[in-house]
Amino acid sequence: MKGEDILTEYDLLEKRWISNDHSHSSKSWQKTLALFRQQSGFERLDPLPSPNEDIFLIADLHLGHANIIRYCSRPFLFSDVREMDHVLIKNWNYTISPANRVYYLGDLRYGTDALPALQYRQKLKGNITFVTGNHDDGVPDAVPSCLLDYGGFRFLLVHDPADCRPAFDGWVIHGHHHNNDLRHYPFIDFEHRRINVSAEVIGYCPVNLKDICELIREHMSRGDMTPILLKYPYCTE
Amino acid sequence: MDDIYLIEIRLAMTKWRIRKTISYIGRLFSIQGFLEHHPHVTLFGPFTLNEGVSSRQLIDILSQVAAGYNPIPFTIDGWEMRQGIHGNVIAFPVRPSDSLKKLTSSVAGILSPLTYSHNIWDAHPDSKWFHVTVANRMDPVQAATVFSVLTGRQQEQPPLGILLRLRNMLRRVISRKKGTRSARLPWMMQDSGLR
Repeated sequence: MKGEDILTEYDLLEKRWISNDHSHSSKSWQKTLALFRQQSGFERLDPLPSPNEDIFLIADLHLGHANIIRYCSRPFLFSDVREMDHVLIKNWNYTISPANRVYYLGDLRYGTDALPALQYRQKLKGNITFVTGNHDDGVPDAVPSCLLDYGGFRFLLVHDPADCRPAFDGWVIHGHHHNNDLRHYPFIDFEHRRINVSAEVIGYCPVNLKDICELIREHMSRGDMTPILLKYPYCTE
Repeated sequence: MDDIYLIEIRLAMTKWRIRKTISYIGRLFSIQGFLEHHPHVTLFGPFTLNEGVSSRQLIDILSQVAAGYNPIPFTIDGWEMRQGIHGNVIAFPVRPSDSLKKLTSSVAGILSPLTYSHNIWDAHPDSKWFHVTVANRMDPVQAATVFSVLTGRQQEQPPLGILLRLRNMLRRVISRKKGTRSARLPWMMQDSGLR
């Protein structure tokens, strides 16, 4: 900055100075965000096949919902919801094999500009169980919640953790809170046995339940109850 | 003013939410005149160039430092109030990553011999207060009132007139109907400085 004006900006991804004339252009920022996603693993560039028996989870894709980009700080240009949809669907299909079981925990699409849920569903690989979210309609075989025994743990899969029975003594896997309240709804809350698989929290790619179980075992064996805020690296100091 | 420089990291993904929150706080406490309208994390400055040092030289020397860095992650978390150069400051504190601390030290190391900084902490980059300013130049009483409400130490609403309360209520109803959201506080947010 010089006085009140931006003198110039250095782009840490492109490793070059961006003149003031172009620094705020959408095209330039879109390119920077795409590089950032690819470098951070938020955008898969190649398929990463997994064994057929693996189970995956994700929630709150909000396909077709432009405002979610700003509300939840997603690494996309606000005006390009089609690019967001393209990347989220690509991430899904590069992670999931047709034989994989996927539990989708609600809010697949949102808003008048979004396609009908069935159209999005046809684009997604895997044997998918849809759990209903508060914004969902038009997903005919969606269930309100489901129980799953896996890796020696009992899980309740539900969109909003507030809908879980207080008597349930297993682990609740949920969405709904996005990255809006990480203090109360982090990726893994060991104390309250809650796991938030909202897309923003797990890095926009479905998460393998096997990995979640390993993290739980590892932390519990150390007696470490410190929550894991996000599935990807973040600053803890 | 035109010869005052600042080295900043721009907010990337969180910019909209932070601006929205700052604007909301401004309306809530009627402190619009004290708000920071371009939220950022300052790395060095405000400073002036020593005699004989040009803007071009400044840019060239910063290139050498910046080229060694990838995106700079940081976490924005909670609220903080401090005494600034021109009065009290309310800010979102920033948890720096190692790369943010290292970049800040490198920038201070390379610029200190060429500049005069008005920020005493630039001489001690290891003790730097990383933050995103919400409002500054506030008097201590005003800042303390706002801060106590933001941090939940004072549960009651700030002193608002009946018309202002009605307006806020109406805005909440409209935004709920439209499916838009008003700012909520506080957040813990992860961001990465890309520029």
